[in-house]
Amino acid sequence: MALKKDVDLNSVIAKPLTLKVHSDYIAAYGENKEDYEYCMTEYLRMSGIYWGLTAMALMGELDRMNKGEVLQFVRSCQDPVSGGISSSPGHDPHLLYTLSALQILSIYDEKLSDQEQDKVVNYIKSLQQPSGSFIGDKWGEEDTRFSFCAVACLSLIGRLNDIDVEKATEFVVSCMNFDGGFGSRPGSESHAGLIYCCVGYFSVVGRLDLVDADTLGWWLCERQLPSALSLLGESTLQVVDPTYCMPKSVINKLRLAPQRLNVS
Amino acid sequence: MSLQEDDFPAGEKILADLDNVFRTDPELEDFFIIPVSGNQNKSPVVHADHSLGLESWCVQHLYCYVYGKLINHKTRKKREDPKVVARLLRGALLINPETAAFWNMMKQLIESERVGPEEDLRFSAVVLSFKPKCSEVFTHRKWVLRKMVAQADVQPMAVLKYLQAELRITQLAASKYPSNYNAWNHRKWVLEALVPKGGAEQKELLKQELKLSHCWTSNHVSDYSGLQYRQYVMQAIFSTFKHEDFLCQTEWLLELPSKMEAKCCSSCAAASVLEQELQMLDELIVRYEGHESLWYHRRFVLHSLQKVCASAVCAKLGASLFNSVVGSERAFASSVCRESKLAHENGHASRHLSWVENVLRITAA
Repeated sequence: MALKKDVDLNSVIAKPLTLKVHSDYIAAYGENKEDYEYCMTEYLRMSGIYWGLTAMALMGELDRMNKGEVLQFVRSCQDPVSGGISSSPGHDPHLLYTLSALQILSIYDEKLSDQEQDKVVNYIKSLQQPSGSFIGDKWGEEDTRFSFCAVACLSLIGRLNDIDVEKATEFVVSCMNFDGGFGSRPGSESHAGLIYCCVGYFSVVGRLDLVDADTLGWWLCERQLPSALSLLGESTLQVVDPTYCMPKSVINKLRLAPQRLNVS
Repeated sequence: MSLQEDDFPAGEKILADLDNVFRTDPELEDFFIIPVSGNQNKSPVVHADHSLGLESWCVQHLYCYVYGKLINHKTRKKREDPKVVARLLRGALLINPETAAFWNMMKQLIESERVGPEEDLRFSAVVLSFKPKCSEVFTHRKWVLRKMVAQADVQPMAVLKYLQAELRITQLAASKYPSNYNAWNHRKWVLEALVPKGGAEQKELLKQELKLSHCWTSNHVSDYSGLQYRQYVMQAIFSTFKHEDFLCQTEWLLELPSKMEAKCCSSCAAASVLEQELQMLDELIVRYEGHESLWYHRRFVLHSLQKVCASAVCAKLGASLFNSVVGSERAFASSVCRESKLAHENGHASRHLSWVENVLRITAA
């Protein structure tokens, strides 16, 4: 049924989450640094490392990763001129990888030196535009993802007030659409990834009050597909509200107004 | 396949063959990787009918070869001549356009005038034919275009040419990948960056875009991003409506009967456009069952109509008119629920009704 835009999950799919298979895969990833697949993904290596480390940490297997090697890699990617951090040696500094680098350091409870930190802060400051937005690097692409990256970076190192937070907030607010969602720039289509970045932005700067929670919550709820519910398994199957296509207990947790649940 | 593979003897020949195609065919349109296990004694570069093909057997060797050389050049381990760098970059970017560092090296070659910006735009358009969703390509094109239009001696005719090329390219990219967020986003940027605001040119273009998006919508009913582009164009049009201009603007309207008098005032003109949009959606929803995108677009139209009615000074618009629209909406959604044989179309209609009742802030008449 192509029109459904959903998958059919049958009962044959494995029920328990096989964590060991996942942790073995991540631990072995990148053992052969010279193969084609590895070099095709160098452009996002820093983020890849962050995703891998986070997954391992969540699985309680962080010790399987080589902390020393990772930290050395991170430090080798800071550009001495701009202060920004790249995805991999030889690649260019960018806000995306600066954030991934700081996140990696944070997982290992490592701190930048004062000098390294000042350089990162100056890099981020240099990327803020008169409109309050952030460009990703010196080449000038503007996107709400970079607003999130900027404040997330600065928040991790306690330097949020080094940028014009008010102006940055104005820009992100200007990207809000009629449906409560956010896009990459003013007038861009609401997109779940960018909504994550914008809501994350507001959370970091302490301005979640600016989000139209009810309208946006409605939008988010409607994105869940029926197949996602089958992952809960028969033993936890709950009555589903047809409007939201999700269990009533979840709707209650999201604190959606009770009168909206009565659909006749 | 090793990163340090300096011993891929065919590498330079393949890159030269690729470059030869770009040089001799200024109308080159497409690039493909041809799945062929292939004869390694023959060139893997295929060129016919303005299409460029690269046989898949060589791709991994070639990429490791160019990648190693480019990174060695960049990290100053082994510097190359700018012409060689340009050739290596084209090879690398055809295969893996996600690599921002390589587009940045190309920018530096453009800045130092080793590569012409128009030549580069032709190249990245070909890359886009292969990877129509790649955000790095659009980002790079924006930089090149900004640079070109910022030149002091840029001619309006040249800017128009760039505009038309971008419109054509974004439409092609949108046709190759469903709901192509990046392509439609780029199209919006083009309207903002390459068209002077408030002039006759902008109005003509918006008219053209509204017509084009009507045609596109009818043929791509599930293109969420294409529909949102239509919303963007409509909003841009409404913001150009000034009291003295709107009277000439009835050509905005589709050829559908309208209950509203578009010529009354600018708010009525906007309301007419939105009313006709609902009629267009009525037809599409019934004809093509099961497309959430159409219902979602409907919400935008209702929300916009509500805003127009709420802010209008005109006596013809107001809460009672909007409430009657909501009444029609309830009737339409209920009829779809009754008539549709598809369970999930039923779901779309009932969810839409729920949204109308709970999210659209309806005030008492």
